[in-house]
Amino acid sequence: MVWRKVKEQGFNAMLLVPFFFNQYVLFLATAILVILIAFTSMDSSMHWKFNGIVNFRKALIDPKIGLIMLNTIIFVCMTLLFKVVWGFIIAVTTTYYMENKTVGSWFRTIWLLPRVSPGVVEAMLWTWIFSSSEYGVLNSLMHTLYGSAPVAWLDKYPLLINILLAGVMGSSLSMVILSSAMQSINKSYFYVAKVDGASEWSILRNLIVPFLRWPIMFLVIWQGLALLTSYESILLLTDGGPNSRSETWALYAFHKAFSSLDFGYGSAVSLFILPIVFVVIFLAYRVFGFHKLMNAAK
Amino acid sequence: MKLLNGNKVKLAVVLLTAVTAISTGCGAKTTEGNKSVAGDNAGQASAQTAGNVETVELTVAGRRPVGDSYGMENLAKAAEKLNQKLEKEDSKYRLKVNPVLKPDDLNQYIIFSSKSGKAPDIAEIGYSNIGWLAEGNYVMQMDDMKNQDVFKNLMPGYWNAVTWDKHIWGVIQDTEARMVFFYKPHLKKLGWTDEQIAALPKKVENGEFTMQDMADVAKQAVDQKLVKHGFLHNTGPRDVAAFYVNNGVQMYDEDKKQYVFDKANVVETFKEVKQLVDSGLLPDSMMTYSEKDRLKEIVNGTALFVGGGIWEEARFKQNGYHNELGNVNSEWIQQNLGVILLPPSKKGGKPITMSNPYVYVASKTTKHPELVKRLLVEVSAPEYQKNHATQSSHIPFTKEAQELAKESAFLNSVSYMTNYSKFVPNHPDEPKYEKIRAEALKNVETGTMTPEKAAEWMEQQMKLDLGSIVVK
Repeated sequence: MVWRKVKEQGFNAMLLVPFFFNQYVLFLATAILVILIAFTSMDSSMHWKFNGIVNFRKALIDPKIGLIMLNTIIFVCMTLLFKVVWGFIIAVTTTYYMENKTVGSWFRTIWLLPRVSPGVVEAMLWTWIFSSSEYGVLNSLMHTLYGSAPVAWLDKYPLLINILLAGVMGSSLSMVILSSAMQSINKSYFYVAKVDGASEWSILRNLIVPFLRWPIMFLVIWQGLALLTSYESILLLTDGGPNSRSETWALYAFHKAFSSLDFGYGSAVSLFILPIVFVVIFLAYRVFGFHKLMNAAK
Repeated sequence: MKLLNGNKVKLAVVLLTAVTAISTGCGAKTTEGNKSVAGDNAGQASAQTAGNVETVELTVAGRRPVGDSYGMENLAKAAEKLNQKLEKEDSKYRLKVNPVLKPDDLNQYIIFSSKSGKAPDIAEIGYSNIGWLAEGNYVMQMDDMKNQDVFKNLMPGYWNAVTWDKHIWGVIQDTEARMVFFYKPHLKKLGWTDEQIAALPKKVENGEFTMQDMADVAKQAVDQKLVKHGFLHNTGPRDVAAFYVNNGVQMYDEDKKQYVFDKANVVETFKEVKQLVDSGLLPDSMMTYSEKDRLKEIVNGTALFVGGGIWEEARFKQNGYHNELGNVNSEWIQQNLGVILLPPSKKGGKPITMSNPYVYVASKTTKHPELVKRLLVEVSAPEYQKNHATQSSHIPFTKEAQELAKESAFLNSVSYMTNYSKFVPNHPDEPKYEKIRAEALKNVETGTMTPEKAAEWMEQQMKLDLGSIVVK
């Protein structure tokens, strides 16, 4: 009898164990280690030599930091805009404007492809498209159409191309969430609006957008925070270059730790992101009413 | 019991059981993982016993693939030879070499595998890493290697490459030279005679043909539309060090064990490079040029002067860079390509070549230090040096092996270059400094900074990353 009860309740608890282990053991241990390392001069020799706040002061006078901060702001804001707006356009087009559900699903499946293909493959494909040699896809196309000479695209527009790559790769999540939200809107609202003579623009502005407010809010905060700490696609496409023109904060932390083997400084740089994350979460909760989204449905 | 009600106690028991189960599972997995790692040849020496013989499996890590290096192949062959000796000595040990290739992250691999007790027994790595490997306690001290017969006729000055803090931490694997290829047919089109072309390397050696002279000839070729680019240089951080050294930049103070910021000469270096870019000889995107594109340009004659290393000769033969011929042979190379040292920046000056000899180091925690050392002595024998040198176009490091490698006409023609070898420091902070060195030059080439501004940036970055430095 007791064993049966343990089994009943224990099963649910056991399901949560990996989550708890990750959140409260692995994550916590990693965070504590990173914080401790940030106060050391640990480098390739991996010695724990505590040096106070030297690394943090160093970050503030680092000649690259201004450019890196600007890159990060542009990268996060522009990619976020691209992800959400593009995801919104695909979602609305394929669920509302396309009458045929099968065609809509088919289009959405195509937009899921970047999400399911490995990042390395995606980056290699983009490197080929924007290759500076005459054999690059874009350069061959430009040469065939306009007879243009090869252009070093990744050197000329490194940040813009990174924004496009991250935006295309990430818009599928917005598309999935917003499509689901669109499909859950009661159809009668649209019928009533049309009977009342509302224009398509008015339906979009006064009906669809307000209905999608919460999912959009969730996407902006969730993806914005994720973008602050993401660097993989940039690492693969331009590695932050040329001349740090596509170097973002998280990538700089990675480079300092694993490329220059300056683990202390790399950890300190990474910790600067933490206050930003806390401020964003606070603002989202208090100012933008994010807590209403997190509350149980009434 | 009031503190915890019945359900909570049961839940706690279940959680503890689950955590224990998971931990046990993790433990089991780790053990399994270790087995598989050993099976994959990554990690510390493992041993298998059959009868009275114990086969010691040594892990050897490197970043150069076959074609660029035959170090791993040599170690395997040397292990076989050593096994014969061990058998004669009635030793119970036999060696087996398990190679691990880490082209992009060898340094990280050594650090993290060492910290988890699975360091490779031997690593094939560039000499400039000796400082941090020694300071970090990753590698075994090998002072006694100096007394081994096989190293008796080592090239002068090459023990310095493996020396840090007055101790020896590895043995040389090969040496090479970085130089400049030129495309002979274009020089002929510019009116040069065969004699003049043949005399060019000597003129560079004598300081009669400078960087400016090279730029002038390159300009003629560009103006006459013979080539797209007058000069392309190799872009690695140890390659671009050549421009600094050529302009007399002092990088390091041996006595103080500190890096030096030599402002006046650094500015001169940047001005020289900027002039090459401004006159349309060197592309401003040079530092992001792919190695393959650069080498294709010299083989196909779309550039007149191209920086590289002597090992490129092997790549020309193997990698199909020629647009029509694909792979080219020794005769074609001799007929169409010439090689010179990087010309001096000033008339009458000495040319230079940057040397980055590869070395073998052994893990401090290897379970079989004596066997590892014996293997490193064995692999340093002249025949193995020759095997690596002739196949990958490198220069052997002892006189005996250089004699054996004389059968290669190309190696013969470039071996004099090692007389002009210069080395970057092998200080523990070299991984940080080499990045600053390359980035500062990139800032000038791309036009992001003026030479003076780039020098200021370099000074600031050196102070930031290297702590106390000497400012000249």
